[in-house]
Amino acid sequence: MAGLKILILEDDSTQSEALALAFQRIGHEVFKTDKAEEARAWVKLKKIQMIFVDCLLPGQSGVDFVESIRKTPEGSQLQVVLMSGIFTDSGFVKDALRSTAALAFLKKPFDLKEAIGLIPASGLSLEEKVSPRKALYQTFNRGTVSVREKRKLIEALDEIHGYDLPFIYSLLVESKMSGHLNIVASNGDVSGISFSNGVIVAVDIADQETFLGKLLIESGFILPEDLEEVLNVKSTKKIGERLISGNLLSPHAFNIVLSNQMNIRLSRTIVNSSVRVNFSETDVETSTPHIDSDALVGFLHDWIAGKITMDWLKAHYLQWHHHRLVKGPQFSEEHPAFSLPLVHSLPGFLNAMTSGEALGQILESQKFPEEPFCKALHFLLTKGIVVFGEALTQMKPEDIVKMLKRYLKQFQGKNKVEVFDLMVQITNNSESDAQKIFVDFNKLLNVRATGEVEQLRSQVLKIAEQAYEFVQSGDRDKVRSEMAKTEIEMKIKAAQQFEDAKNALQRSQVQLGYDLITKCLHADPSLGKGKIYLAWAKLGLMEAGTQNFSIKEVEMDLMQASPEDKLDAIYNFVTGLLQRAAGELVMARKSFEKALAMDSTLIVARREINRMINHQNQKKDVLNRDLKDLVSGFFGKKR
Amino acid sequence: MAKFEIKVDKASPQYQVNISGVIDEDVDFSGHSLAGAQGVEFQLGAIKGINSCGIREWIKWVSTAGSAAVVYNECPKVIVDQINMVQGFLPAQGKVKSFYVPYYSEETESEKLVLFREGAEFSASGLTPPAEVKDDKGQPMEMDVVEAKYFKFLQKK
Repeated sequence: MAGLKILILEDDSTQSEALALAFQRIGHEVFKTDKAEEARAWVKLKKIQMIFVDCLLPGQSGVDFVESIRKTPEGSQLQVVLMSGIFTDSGFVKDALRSTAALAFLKKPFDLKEAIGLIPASGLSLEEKVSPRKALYQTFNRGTVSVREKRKLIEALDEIHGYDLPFIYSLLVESKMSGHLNIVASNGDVSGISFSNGVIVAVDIADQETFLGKLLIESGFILPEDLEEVLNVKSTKKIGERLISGNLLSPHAFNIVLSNQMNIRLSRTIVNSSVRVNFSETDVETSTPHIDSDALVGFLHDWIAGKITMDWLKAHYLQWHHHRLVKGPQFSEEHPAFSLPLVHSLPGFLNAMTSGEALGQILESQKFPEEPFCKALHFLLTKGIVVFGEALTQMKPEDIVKMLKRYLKQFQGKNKVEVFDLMVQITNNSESDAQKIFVDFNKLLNVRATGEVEQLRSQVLKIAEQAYEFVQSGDRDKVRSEMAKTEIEMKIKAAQQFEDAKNALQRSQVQLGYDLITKCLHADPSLGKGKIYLAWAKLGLMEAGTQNFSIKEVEMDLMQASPEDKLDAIYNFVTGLLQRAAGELVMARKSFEKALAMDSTLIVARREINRMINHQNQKKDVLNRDLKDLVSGFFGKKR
Repeated sequence: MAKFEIKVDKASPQYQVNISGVIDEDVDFSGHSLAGAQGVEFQLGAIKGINSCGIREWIKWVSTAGSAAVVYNECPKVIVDQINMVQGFLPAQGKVKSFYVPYYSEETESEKLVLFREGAEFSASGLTPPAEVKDDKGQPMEMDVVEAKYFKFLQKK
């Protein structure tokens, strides 16, 4: 183990000696002093990495000493542990931890093992020690990471968020790994993905709905009648085999559909809740169909566009706010990712990514709408096309103000448990380690501050501190269960409103439909098919001339439908409406017909087809009439 | 790929189960019910992998042992991972008697599995890992797992 340079600033020589001996025994280089000035010099000269400081020093408080040394370049990165036998009330401890960004506070007398436990057990130096989740997201930043290291990174993960899974899938594919990734959802459901030398060969989810019939019809490989015919014949064979043996489907077409089925199953693993994962490395046979690195690009795009919520992305990227964006190992200007809608719809995005600006600067410049920007960025980061480079060493005060305002905005309207959940995500820690979360959060905001910056920083820290205190009080579970109850009630209400909205749209009451859907999406941003109906309502309002939305905006809404929601007849119907609005009439008609093939009861699709036929007939009539009728038709008196 | 094999010895009320290979969707435990056993002792050292279908099948199968005392021996890492992560993978009345811990040498990049046995390297009061583990070339090796995560199942019991 690589030893650390540890300084003990303590006037109680017995305590100091005991600590020094304990640390030396496990291989660390230890320095001792009881004088603050000597400690200050040693921090600079000896390149001290960790310091244990007594709060009551002769002539100076240990807290004041740490605060002052924090302002020096050597002291800013120093890991600090405070100790005291006198100042032990919770208020003092809390304030001291906050103002010094210390790792921990040891109340005397303490067990030496407790002190030793605060020193990293691995060979990593303290500066390098990052949480497993953060280390995972830094994988593409580091030039060469061996397959073993990547495997270890995944192994180190404990509880993660379902939205972290696309990154893990991408990493396993890019690393050409073989084995089984097992995933346990918060409700205990077990799913799994099998990888063979970097390709996804099988996806197993607890919900076994196959979508196969829908997929076959949606892809245009079979007609609904073909499917019905096959389903009506009793057979032990699987549906695909039956279709192939009946010459209704080619094996090649079937493989394409199976691959899409894997996409949908993968998409269903990406849930808005916590999951646990482990990767069992083992030989897995390659099979067809499979999802390789190229195919994964498109799927990642759709999952990120359609599944990941903005709330999660905003919290995820707060920690990277002052990091520059740079080209990643997978960068190439010809990379197919750049032609996909998320990135393609943002002109100038590529330049912004490689301009050397920090993420916060790009966001604050408002060159791009926030939602598509964050999703496009996440997509490219997930593929390792761009990565976060070094952090800005000197942030301008105005940038710090903006960053802190962003934190405040994130905390706005959230209760203490929600604030703490955000802190968990921002600091990448396990939620069970509340103290570490609080300390790490303090460290994130460890900026030199005066005036407005200090005022904002205090506001942010105050909210964080209240959240931390609340969690420590043990009332979190009670509030969580109340929140879960409220959330369920809100979702039920949103679902009811959503039904009303659908009915309104079916009856062409587009304004009412739009108002209701907007409310539903506000209450439940991950509402299934919500964006599809929103697009329908917007197109209706555009046609009625009531509100002016751009085609691009509606395209973005439709793009944000999840892969499984895109398998609905209504998606094809709304796509048809969009195509018609964009003047692509042939495509529009095909989409309406596809929607009708998937759901023969979809009256609105039939209505649109009839409208198009009537419109075409009227056009033909115009051409068939003689010139006199035509001229009077155009210029004659209107009745 | 390692072929799955299972042997269940029901000669005494203390069933002996030996399993090797990969546990996946092709595995069929239905012919190996554990019902009626007073105790079931598993030898798991030759298991090479398990996927999610295998996990689900395993839980269903092991539950056929009912209230019989279940003991897992020589759990490889892949099994320890599931015990830690999946509720019911080790039944409530189950116990781990021995399990493997991976060690690694950065010097030689060699890996080694060290068997931790109840009463020797671990007990109810905690872990007592071997003072020193060396690879074939005599280089010292370090434990190659995230301790807080890997040994979690010992705290549950």
